Amino acid sequence: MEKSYRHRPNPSSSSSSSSSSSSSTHFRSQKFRSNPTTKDGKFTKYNNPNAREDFVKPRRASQQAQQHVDDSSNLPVLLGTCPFMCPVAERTQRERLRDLAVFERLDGNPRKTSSDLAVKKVRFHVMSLHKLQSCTNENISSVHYLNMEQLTKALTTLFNLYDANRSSESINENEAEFHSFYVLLHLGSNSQPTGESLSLWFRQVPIPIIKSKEMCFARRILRFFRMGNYKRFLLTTAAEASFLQYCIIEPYIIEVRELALSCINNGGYKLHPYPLTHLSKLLMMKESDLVSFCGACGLEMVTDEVGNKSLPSKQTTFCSPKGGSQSYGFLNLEPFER
Amino acid sequence: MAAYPGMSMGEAHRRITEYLNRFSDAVSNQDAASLRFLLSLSSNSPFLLSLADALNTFQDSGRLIKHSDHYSQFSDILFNLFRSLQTYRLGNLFDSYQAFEKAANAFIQEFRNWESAWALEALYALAYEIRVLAERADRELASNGKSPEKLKAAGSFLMKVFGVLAGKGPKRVGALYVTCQLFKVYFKLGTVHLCRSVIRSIETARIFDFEEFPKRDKVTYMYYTGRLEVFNENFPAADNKLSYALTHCNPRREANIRMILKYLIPVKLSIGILPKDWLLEKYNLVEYRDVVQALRRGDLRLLRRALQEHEDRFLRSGVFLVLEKLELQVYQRLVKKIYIIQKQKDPTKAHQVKLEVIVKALKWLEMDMDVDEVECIMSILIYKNLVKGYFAHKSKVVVLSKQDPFPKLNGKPVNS
Repeated sequence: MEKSYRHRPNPSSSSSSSSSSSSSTHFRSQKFRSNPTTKDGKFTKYNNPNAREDFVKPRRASQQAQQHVDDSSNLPVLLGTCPFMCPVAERTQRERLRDLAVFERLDGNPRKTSSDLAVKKVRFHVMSLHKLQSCTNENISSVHYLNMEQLTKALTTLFNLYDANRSSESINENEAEFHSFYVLLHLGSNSQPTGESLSLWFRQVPIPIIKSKEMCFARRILRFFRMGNYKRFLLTTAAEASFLQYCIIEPYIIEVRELALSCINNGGYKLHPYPLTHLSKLLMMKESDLVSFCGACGLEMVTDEVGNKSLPSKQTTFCSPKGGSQSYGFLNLEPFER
Repeated sequence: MAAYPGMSMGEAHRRITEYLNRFSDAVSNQDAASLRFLLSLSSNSPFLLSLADALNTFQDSGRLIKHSDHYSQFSDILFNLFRSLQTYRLGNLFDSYQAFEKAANAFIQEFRNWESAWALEALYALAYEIRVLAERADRELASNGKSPEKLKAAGSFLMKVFGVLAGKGPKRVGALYVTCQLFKVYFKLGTVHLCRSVIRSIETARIFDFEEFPKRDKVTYMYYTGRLEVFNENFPAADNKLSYALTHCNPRREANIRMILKYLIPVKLSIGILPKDWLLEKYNLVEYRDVVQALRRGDLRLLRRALQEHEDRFLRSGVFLVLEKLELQVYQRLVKKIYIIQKQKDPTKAHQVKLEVIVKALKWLEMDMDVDEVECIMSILIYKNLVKGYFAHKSKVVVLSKQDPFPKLNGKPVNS
């Protein structure tokens, strides 16, 4: 399936500039590794930011709109850029109606689909998760909700397809990865009353998938999250998450950093304010980002005679950051090549 | 599988007529126990098996059914029951289920018209059989490479039965039994979310008084709803329900007690209550032994090993994540042990625990954690009130409260 992307020629260059456009996140220009021991370079296309051009059709123009998002009060415009996509009239209709369903159809049969198409759809929605995360448009939450809904549906369809086509021993090469997505999507949901319990879901996952590298990664992340082990959560995510896994984990990173601040504020010795340098290493954030994050959490820093900042504990003003919580990316993300 | 070779047509005729008479007598005498016996296909009773042979020999039971008014009024039930029995005997479970479902539907129509609740025991047998036959039919479908669908159909049928019982009359006490059959279906299918609507009906509909239901059904109900609470990590509710099931379960039903304990133990562990070894031994729940030991000793390595060793089993039963979360309590125990040892050496300084000491203890357990991670864990333990005190970052020390530094859970789960 990966190959099919490469067969498509790059669309018009006008759309190619945006992936290296300025962004508020660090990692866009960073490279991502795949989960440990995956050697086949499955994720190599994410090494090259420009490779994202031929990734998904139609491209939501949110990357282009990124720079204008604060100016415009409209949702990102659907822009079809693939020259092979469909006749002009249909393309404009799709743009107008934001209708992607036909692309999910195999041979135009609305009842037939294939796991390749489902896979594409899931990847698209995961990417959108990430894009929407950094959108500060006030209408974004409903779009975000819709996107999550579509992502969950696409994943479920994919799992059903895998189950239906399962041959005795082998698992589809994508299965482990997508199962890991499911776990990461439900990090916080085991104790929600209406959420799909992960404990229940694990019961029917085939053992080879449970033992896969991707699932082991996801389960470790789950364990750290549930324990509240913010250090390992952040470290492991930074060290081992693939790009798509990162997209899904992203909102939880904010939550975990918030928990870390809360714990330190709650349990730290009042006379030993926590040094900013150490905190930024712990939370894997740039110092300047950390200062603004603390501010968003209602916490004040103190500065000593030589200009070192630190965070005093037992502040009573701690609160959850309001509104579109910005993601601050990861400090010192190492290159993929290792 | 040929029909019973030694049976003559006359003998076959006699057996079939005997069944027909027994059936109509059971109905006219309102004898639920007898009727129940006549419906229990999967019981493999010699009577029913030889009846099946007779049917396969005689081949024209329809004519016999129409023979007398006593049983021709039940022709839909009987004709399909016979077909189900015949195909069952020939090992054709798919056809057997199909026919049984038709018979069951016809039975429900009659049941509706019987005013009193005399036939409930027979209805229970019907509900049981339809589930069991559906499971076997699905196994047959799967082995032929087809997609299984009969258990789902059985679920729909059982919902229909539930609807018939959910009224103001005396038949309503049968609803809980049917609910439990539905639970078994949904758990088997993995469509556990469908339990929600029946639970809602049982627990909120004004026609039902939970105390009126038979004890056996209440135990089964609490077992399943307790398990749902375990999946959702709602420990106080899970403890309530599973404990109810345990208390009211027939003590001689050791297999059932074991099943309840399998889920109750992780719940109890999560609220700080440890089972005694003899309990684990008696009910063969030794997979929990190392987990319990790890909690007692503060042995993180043992906990992780135990989880790894029984990973598949714990994942299948759905308690793995619950057990994993016990790590925090294991940490608490470990730090407490360090504190106790320090107290023996020098009571005045015991309440200060250097992070390095914890790092060392963990190293002895082959757990590789640096000071930062230990500080992180300590801050979490303090945050969740498993440890009372504070940590001093600069001196890399945890200072424990002089009073009750390691609060017990006291039947409440760890703060989330």
